[in-house]
Formats: sequence, structure tokens, C-alpha cells
Amino acid sequence: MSDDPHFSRGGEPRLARRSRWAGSVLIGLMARIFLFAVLATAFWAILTRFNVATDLGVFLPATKSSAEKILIKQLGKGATSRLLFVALSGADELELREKNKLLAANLRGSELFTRVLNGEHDLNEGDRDLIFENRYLVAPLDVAQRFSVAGLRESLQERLRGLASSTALFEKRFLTRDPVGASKIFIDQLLVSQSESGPLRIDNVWMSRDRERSLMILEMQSDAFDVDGQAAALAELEALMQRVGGDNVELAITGPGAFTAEARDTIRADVKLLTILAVVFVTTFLFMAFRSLMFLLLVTVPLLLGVMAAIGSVLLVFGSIHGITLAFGVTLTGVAVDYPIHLISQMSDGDAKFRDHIKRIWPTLRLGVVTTTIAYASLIFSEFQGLTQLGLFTVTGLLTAAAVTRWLLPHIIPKRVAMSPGLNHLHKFLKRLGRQAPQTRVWMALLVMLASAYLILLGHPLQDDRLDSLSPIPEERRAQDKSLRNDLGMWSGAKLMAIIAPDAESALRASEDLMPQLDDFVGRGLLSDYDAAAQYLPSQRLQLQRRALLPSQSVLRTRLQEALVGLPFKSDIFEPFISDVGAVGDKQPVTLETLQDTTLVPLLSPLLFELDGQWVAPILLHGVTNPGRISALSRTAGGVEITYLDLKQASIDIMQGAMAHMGRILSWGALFIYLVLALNFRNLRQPLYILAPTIAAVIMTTAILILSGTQLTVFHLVSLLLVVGLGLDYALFFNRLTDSPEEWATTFKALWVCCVTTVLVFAMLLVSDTPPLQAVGITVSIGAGFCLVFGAVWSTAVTRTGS
Amino acid sequence: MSPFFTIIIGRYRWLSNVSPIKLSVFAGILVAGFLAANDRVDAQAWTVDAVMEGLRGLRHAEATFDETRHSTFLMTPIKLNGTFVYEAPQTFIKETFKPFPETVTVDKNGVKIEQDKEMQEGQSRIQFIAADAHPLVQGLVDSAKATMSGKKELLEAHYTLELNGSKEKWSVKLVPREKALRKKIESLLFVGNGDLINSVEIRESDGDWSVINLKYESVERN
Repeated sequence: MSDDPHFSRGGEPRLARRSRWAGSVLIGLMARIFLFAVLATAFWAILTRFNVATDLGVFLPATKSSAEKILIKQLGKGATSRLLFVALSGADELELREKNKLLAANLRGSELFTRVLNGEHDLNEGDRDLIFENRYLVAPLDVAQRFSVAGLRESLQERLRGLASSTALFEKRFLTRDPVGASKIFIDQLLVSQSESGPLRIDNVWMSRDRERSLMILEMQSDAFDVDGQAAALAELEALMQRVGGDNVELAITGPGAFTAEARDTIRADVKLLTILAVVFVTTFLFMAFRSLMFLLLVTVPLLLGVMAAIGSVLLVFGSIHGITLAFGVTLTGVAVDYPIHLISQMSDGDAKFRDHIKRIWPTLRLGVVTTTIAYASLIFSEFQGLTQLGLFTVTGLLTAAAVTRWLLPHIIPKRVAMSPGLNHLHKFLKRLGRQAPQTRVWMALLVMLASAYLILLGHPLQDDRLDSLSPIPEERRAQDKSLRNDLGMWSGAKLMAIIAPDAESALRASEDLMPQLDDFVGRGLLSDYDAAAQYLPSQRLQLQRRALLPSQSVLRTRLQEALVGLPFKSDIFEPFISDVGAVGDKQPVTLETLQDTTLVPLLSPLLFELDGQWVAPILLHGVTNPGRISALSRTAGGVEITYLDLKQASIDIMQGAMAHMGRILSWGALFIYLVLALNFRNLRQPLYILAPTIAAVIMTTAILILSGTQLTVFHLVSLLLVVGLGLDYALFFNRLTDSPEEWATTFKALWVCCVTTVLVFAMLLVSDTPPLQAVGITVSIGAGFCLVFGAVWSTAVTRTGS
Repeated sequence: MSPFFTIIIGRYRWLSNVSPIKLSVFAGILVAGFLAANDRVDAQAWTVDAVMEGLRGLRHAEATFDETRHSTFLMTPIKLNGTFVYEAPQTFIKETFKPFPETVTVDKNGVKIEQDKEMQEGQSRIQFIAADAHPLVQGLVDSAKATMSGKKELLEAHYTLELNGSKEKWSVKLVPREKALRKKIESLLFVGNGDLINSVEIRESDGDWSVINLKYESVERN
């Protein structure tokens, strides 16, 4: 191997040596000008348009189906993102209810909340009057049947039965104006729909079934795009709780509204904490290793400028930078710390001139940068906008940091950096291990093969397919949210028919056309029940049909006379009914506008809403036993799209699609990296020594994650990508041709220092509460370790110098 | 405001069907039952206190009843009949046989109303209101309990009580104090003979009225 023609003294490929002096000066000049331009632009961009976004939408994959898209958008927009679920607990029942009422009263006085529901209101008198006024338009009556002689007689018998019951006083209230019971039927349906799985209502306040908590649903004024507004509302809620004297009452707040603000705070706190920790730990460690303050300063220059350029580029392309992109981006770009470490630490005593040294080390460094960039660049093609941002961030950051190391650092570096080697004992120990590492190659290969076999036998890596897994909300909070939703009887099923139409009327009509089939399915046990907007707000078409079917006053009077034969009712008492029915002819159909400001709105708004100029009417399905039959109802006709959606399945599909997509891009990336390496080495075999340790590290890391019971998310995959970058970097330096054990030792020290730095930075992510950051932390910490070990094991340099 | 008169048309269909006023009337009838079932106090000291004092002795009572409901909506009154059962300490069952079967049970757990299931508009007509799930029902159960343990103040909080006659022929008239209830109910009149109640007359404010006549079949005392 030592006479490999493709390697020359100093480890530089021939390609680099061949470049001519004049050419290199020109390239250097252009590179510097370009670098300055990039940095200046980035600086300008940061100054003028720095803007951190925190909505989580960008970390959801872009999807194709419009129904899915609409539902995903629903996560960020619409009423649902403004909801808070509140529970009071920890005191006796009476106090919980009393505090609940007090708090609700205070909240109703606040402008920050548009709706406060705690069981105190249901239908108020105004709503009941409105329903009563329009009862023959909105009630689900078969008008022709109910107003026939037989139908009227049936109704009258029913009323007589009511008068003879223990609830007679209630019957009397609407007997003379509504003997067919239209308003009763409508209100019953309305109330039943809410009661099935809803909370207990004790003393007018919602309580959980175990009666440990009193409950409340709040709607905030601000939507998810106004995180500051939502945070203000949350602060107000807590302040009001204090005011009503909630010292001994525990307040739990969950719901999308709470999480948006929380996620922002968590991300902010994490970024702050991690930055501080990273700076403290890494500087301490590097100082221990090299005992030089100047060294420390120099090492951070490329990273800082790289991050600056990266932020600038993302701002310029996307208009804003997401908090998660920033946090991940800075950590991923942290690899760039390795570059100056390679450069400076490998300077030997006789090698005082940096300009010479950088030329010696640059080809390897460059190869490392190029291959890592290829790996990171695959993020740009991700279906997740957040990851695309991250890809752009890391690529810009890496390239800038490398350029700074190559063309800027040598100028600002003092002639000599006063360094004395630290951590000598550790270094000696590791060196011995490193020298012996290649001897274990067979065993390591066996281990990796075992791990591969395990992964292959497993079929596919255990992916966490839930969209939830992308959420930065800690598992514990999500569980709390789930139990509160349960208590409140919020629809938690994941199956629905999504109706998307150009206007509300068409959506309601489509809904109505679907309902007979759904009723039939309910009858046959294919589903247990459903909720549709059309049940509470019939289309204008249906209301007009009902209106047209109502008999005239004289016809109704005649039919009533006939129906009353043999019944004890006085015949003239139904005149108010007759004139009410007669008055329906002048009534306009009830629309969403009519219902504005009624307590029906919270019931209707999740079932009928406008989104991006389209109207969506989801029919929520309960107890679906035969999804196949129901999904067969999906169709698109006349601009109305009806889609059966299993949200759980859809989110799994979305995630799997996105992961498969990333897998494909990564495969292409690997091939591309191989080609670049092969081209550089003019050799098809040498790249394998670079790729083998990298791939081995990825396999081992994955195997360990899965063995430890981790479900892989997109964030683990991203982290594996970083492991690829690190692996390539280490392997390239391990394979630099060195002709003396001393130089090998210097290179080796630089490598293990890089590795420890990386592990330190990423292990710190484990202190974060944010699941995605934890995922990255654990994966990269393990991966970086393996990269060093396997890099040493497959090092060809050590084989050569050690002999 | 008294829990009796808090008008709640609830989330639950059975709450919307059970009018609070009806339950108040029902409570009145129950109270009258206790008042009647006393034979331990002598005629000279015939006061409401004395009546309630004696109530604790009652263990079990069974009666048949027939009821006539007069309504301004009807040409002829509705006739009902059935049985009435009291079980110490606080269980009351009113079972109607005709014209439509219905059973109303009040005990310490709450109120249960069972109607014929073959009705046109509803699916299930068994309605249960847990005592502590609803202030109204709680109030009903509480006042029954209060009556049994001789707490007159609780009754007087909601009704003015007027006792007339002697032990052999007496009447107790309950007039609601609360305006809201007075709009519906004018008065409840209980007429007794000796230690047994003969009839209950309920006068509603809209002119409707009904009379319940009781015939005791068995009365057990401690």
C-alpha cells in the first residue's frame, strides 16, 4: 500500500499538487472575494430581516391530496389552534366548581378570549327562541308524513301521553304552538349529540367522570400565527386564576393553543441553554487538550462566520428561519469546529507557516467538506420544509466555514500559536488503542455484519409513523392533553368523511346527500354514529323543500279536525300552531349568518368552516367497523370533493412516504459521494476504505437505537446524516498518508479531540425536554463514537506507518 | 336562589324532559305523605312540628291511587291510577298503570323515571338523574330526608305551610315562596283523615288542576 501511486507525501492526492501556482492564487483571490460577498450579504440579511418562526407547520411534510392538506393546515389555522382545555383539580368538588365559575366569569370579561365554555351555558333563551321560530325549517321532520292526518294524529296521541306523564308541565309549554314536537326533536338531537361521551354536568359546571376535575374549554382571540397573542392570553388565564384565589387548586392547561406558545418557549429555552452549555463544555475541553486561549478563539471563527452565512441564506430564501432549524442548524454546523482543529493542531514545530500547512492539509479537508456537503444537501430535497431549511443552512454553513478556514484563517492566525499538548495520558492511551485498532478489523466486521443481519431480519426499522412524533411537546404533556380531551368528550376518533366544496351550501347539500347512506350503514352496524353539520344546519335547499311541503292554513285546519276525532283535545286550542305554520311561508332559510352569536357556533364551527376560500364540512365518524364500505362513498363531482380519511392512517402514510423519499435521496447521495471519492483518488477501491467505516457507524448506531427500544423518527434520520458527515471526515483523515508515527499521532489527536467535542455538544441535547432534540442528541453521540472507532479500525494509514 | 328553582335545560335529554317544577310538585306530594302518616301526637298539639316529629316512626307504606287531571286543553280530564310505596328511610315509588305505564322512583341516589319504551320520538325512556349530579334532584332528596328527620325549616324555606282542622279531619296547604314557581304552581293542598292522607290537590297557575286520592293497603310503623 505504501507505494500506492495515488498517494503522495503529505497525504495529498496528485490532483492537488498538480494545480499551478498562478491558478491557485487566482482561485484563492476569487474565493476570498466571493467569501466576503457571501458574508456581507448574510450580515445584511440578518440585520434587515432576522425573524424566527415558531409554527410547527413547516416540520410537517408537504402533501398532495387536498383533503389531507386541508387537515394538516387545520393544525396551524382555524378554530382548533385557538382552543385551550382547562382543568381545575386538587380540591374538594364544591370548591372546584365554585372556582371554575368564578374563573369563567372573569375570563368572559377578558378581550383575549372569544369563548368560555364550562357547562354554564348551553342553549340560552335567545337560542331557544331562534330555534323555535325556525322549527319547521330546521327540525329533521319528514314534513309530508308528519303533517298528514295520520302523522298529526300520531303526534297528538304522543302529546296526550305527555300530559298524562310526570313530565306534563314541560309538555304544556309547546303544546298549542308545536304539537308535532319539531323544536323538541331538534333540541333533543342537539343535546344528545353532545352528551354521549361528554363530561358530567354538575351544578351547571362540567366535571370529569371521576369528578376529580372541573373542566373548561376556552377559545383565544389569537390564532397559532400570533404566538405572542396566545402567550399573553395564557398569562392572563394564569393571572385570573391567581385572582380567584386558586392557591389550593391546581390549574392544568393543554390544547393546541397552549402548546404553540409552550413549544416556542421550550425551543427558545433549549437554544439558550444548549448554547451556553456547548460553549462552556467545549471550550473547557479544548483548553484542556491544547492549553491555548488563542487556539480556542481561532477555532470558533469559521463556525461563527459559517453560522452567520447560514442564517443569512435561509432568511434570504425563506423569508424567516424556523426556531428548530436554527437550533439544529447550529449544532449540525458544529462539525465545522473540526476544520480549524485539523488545521491548527496538526501544525508541528517545524511547520510554522500556516500557509504552507493549510496547503498540505487542504485536499483532505476539502474532500471531507465536499462529501459531507453532499450528504447534508440531500436534506434540501426533503418534503419537509423545515428540513429543506436545515439542508440549506448546513450546506451554506459548512462551505462558508471551510472557506474561512482555508482562505481567511491563515491571514489572521499569529505566526505561532502557543500551544502545549494537554491530556497526555489520555492521548497515549488512546494512541495505543488506535494503533492496535486495525487488528480487530475482522471482529469489527463480524459485529457490523451481525448488526446488519439484525436490521435486515427486522424487515424495516421500527419507524415512529405518527405525525405526533414530530411534535416538540413532551410525551407527558401530550398524555395530559389526551386525558383532558377524553374528559371533555372531544371527538378523538381519527376517521371522517371530508367534504370540500366551493361554498357552505354545496358542502351542506353534499353532506345531506350522504346522510341516508350513512344512516343505512349505522343501521347495518358498519359504523355506530356520526356527526355532521347538516344535522344542525340543513342546507337552504332542504329548508325550502320543507317549507314547500307544509300545508296551507286551511288544509292544516281540516286535517287537524280529522286527526282530533276521538281525542280529548279541545279543537280550537291549536290555532296558534296553524298560524305559526302559515307564517313559515314568509321565512327565509336559516344560514350560518343567522346563527352567528348563538351557542350553536361552537358546535357547528368544527363541522363547517371556510379555509383558503373553500368550505370544509367534515363528517366525524364514530365506531367504524368497515372502512372499505365507507371509503367507497368517496367521490368528486361538480366541484365537490368527498374523501374518506383515516387521519391516523393518513399521517402514517405521509410519514412513511416522506421517510422513503429521504431514503431514496440518501442512496443517491451515497452513490454520488462514492463517485466523488473515486474521481479524487482515481481509484475504485480506495473510496471503500472511506465509506466502510461510515456505513458501519450508521448501521451500528441504528441497531443500538432500535435495540434500546427507540422508535425512529425523521429526526433520527437527519442525525444519521450527520453521522455520515462525521464518518466521512474522520475516515478521510485516518487515511491520510503520513510517513512518520509522530505525524500519525498528531492527526489522531486532532481526530479524537474532534470526536469528543462532537459527543460533548450532542450529548448535551439529552438535557432538553424536546423530543426531536433528544433524538438528535442520542443518535449523534453514539454515531460520532462509532465513527472514530471504525475510522481507526479501517485506517490504512496506521497499517502503513505502524509496520 | 334555591336549587329547586334553578331552571336547567341541560346537556342531557332527560334533564330537558324533567321539569324542575314537576319535581317540586312531586316533592310536595311526598312531604304530604309523611305528614299524613302520623298517629302518635294527640289532637290538642296538632302542629306541623308535631306532624314531622311523628314521621320518624313510619317504616313502610303502600297505597293505591287514582288521579284526575283537569286541563284547559282537554274537554275531558285524564284519569290515572296506580300504586304508591314508601320504604324507610327515603325511598318512594309512584307507579302509574293507566292510561300509560310509568314508574317514578326517588331514593337517596336520585330520581329515576321509566316510561313505556314503545314511544314514537324517543329511543330509551329510562331516565335517571343522580342525586348529586343535579342540584334540583339533590334538593328533592334532601327535603325528603329533612322531613324524615324533622327539619321543618327546610320546608318552610320553600313553602308557606298552613295547617287547618283537627286530627280527624285536617288539611295542609303549601304555597310556594319563590316567584318563579308561583307562576306555575298556585298551591298544593293535602287533606287527611286521622293518620292517613285522603287526597292531594295541585292547583296550577294556568288554571289546570289535579286531584290524587290515596287508599292505603298497608302501613308499618316502628
